[in-house]
Amino acid sequence: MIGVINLGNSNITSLTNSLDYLNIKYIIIEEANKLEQVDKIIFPGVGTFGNGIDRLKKLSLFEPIIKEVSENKKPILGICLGMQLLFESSDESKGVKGLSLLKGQVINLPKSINFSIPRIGWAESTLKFDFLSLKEKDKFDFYYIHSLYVKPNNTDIISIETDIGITAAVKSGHIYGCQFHPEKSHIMGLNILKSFSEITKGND
Amino acid sequence: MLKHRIIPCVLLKDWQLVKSIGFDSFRTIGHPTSTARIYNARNVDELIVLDIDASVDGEEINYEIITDIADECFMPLTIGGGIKSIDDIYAVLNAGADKVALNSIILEDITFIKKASSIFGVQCIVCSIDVKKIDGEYKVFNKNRGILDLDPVALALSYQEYGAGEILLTSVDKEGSTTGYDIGLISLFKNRLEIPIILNGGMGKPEDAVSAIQNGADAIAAAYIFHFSQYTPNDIKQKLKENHLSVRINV
Repeated sequence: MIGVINLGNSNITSLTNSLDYLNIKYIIIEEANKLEQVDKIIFPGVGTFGNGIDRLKKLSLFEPIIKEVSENKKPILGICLGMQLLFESSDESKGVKGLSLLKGQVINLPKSINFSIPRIGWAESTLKFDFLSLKEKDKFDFYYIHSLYVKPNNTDIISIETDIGITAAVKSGHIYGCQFHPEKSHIMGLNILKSFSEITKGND
Repeated sequence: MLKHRIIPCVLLKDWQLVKSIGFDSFRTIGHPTSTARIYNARNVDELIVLDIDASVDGEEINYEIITDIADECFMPLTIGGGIKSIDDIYAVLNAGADKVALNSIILEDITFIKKASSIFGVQCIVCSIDVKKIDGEYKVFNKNRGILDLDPVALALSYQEYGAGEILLTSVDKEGSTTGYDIGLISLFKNRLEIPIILNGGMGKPEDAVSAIQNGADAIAAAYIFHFSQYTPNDIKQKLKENHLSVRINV
């Protein structure tokens, strides 16, 4: 069973619509004891880093998520802000400590002639190594909507890059994150969700 | 490099999706869910739905239909019309929208943009500006308040400063006309804003999208062409590609 974290201010319906369409079973997580019942976690998010951490703490999910992922090794897929919250800190909300499941910072997108900020739209994304359903074919279009991106300390965990070296997806063991929105990227995105639903603990 | 987006922009009225002509008369497009399903199958880049019943004072937003549309929509969905509070935004996002389009509320209170974007992120906040040409000058138009003595570019710059994520710029004169986008209008915006501009109103043929983008639009919105002509979203993308503009071609 997959647990979908509901911060209350995120696009959770977009995600659950996709899971329903794919016939993937899930429960909505708004409290810590439900987190124990699931074997995988999807963590979507829209909003600011500070507001996201604040809501995690209000729901008493901050410590339990860390425990389930780092001690109990439950696979997690962070989407957009959900991915950013897996890291240590963000330019968006200085002084706020993230879940720190992955080492690195969330930084402002650089000014570029390639895009306006927020960077909104479909962009070509280059696969560096296999990421869930994505294999072999090395370029894909995904839908992005963001002003910041993650800069992992260990760049080897970057599995997809987009534009001028912007991190699009990371994979570190059983921890997955994507900056783009798989639930809004038509079939290529839906395949990623399906593939995440099919991984089993210890088989990542 | 981001791809230029082709976005159907349709109106919700009396439980039907409609297309307006000059903000005045309406033509029915069809049932909301079946229309959303077709757009999904046609692999469009995004969808904008504006609830014009709710934008009338005192009317409630039709969450039921928004939920039905979102169920069929595996692409970004922007909902506008009748949003008057932060609670309305929470409700619209919970119904399955990804972004909200704001219009009347931010003309009354520009600080609402800042309030909303600090909670939901700037990327969630689309600020909509309707424009009419009066005696050769472009003026901001509001359907409840009429023509306002506001310069559209100056207003867009203020919206950007207050935390808008995108501008949806609609030419009321061109809307539903199929005579092409208002190139004079978009040219005024070229290189003025840092945030993306979605230009709406007037597309009658794929070439219109080419000139809109060449003159400063980041994305183009349309409705008439998709329902009452032989052109599909993909025809428009092929035309953009021929003109070396970057678009997402169906996988």
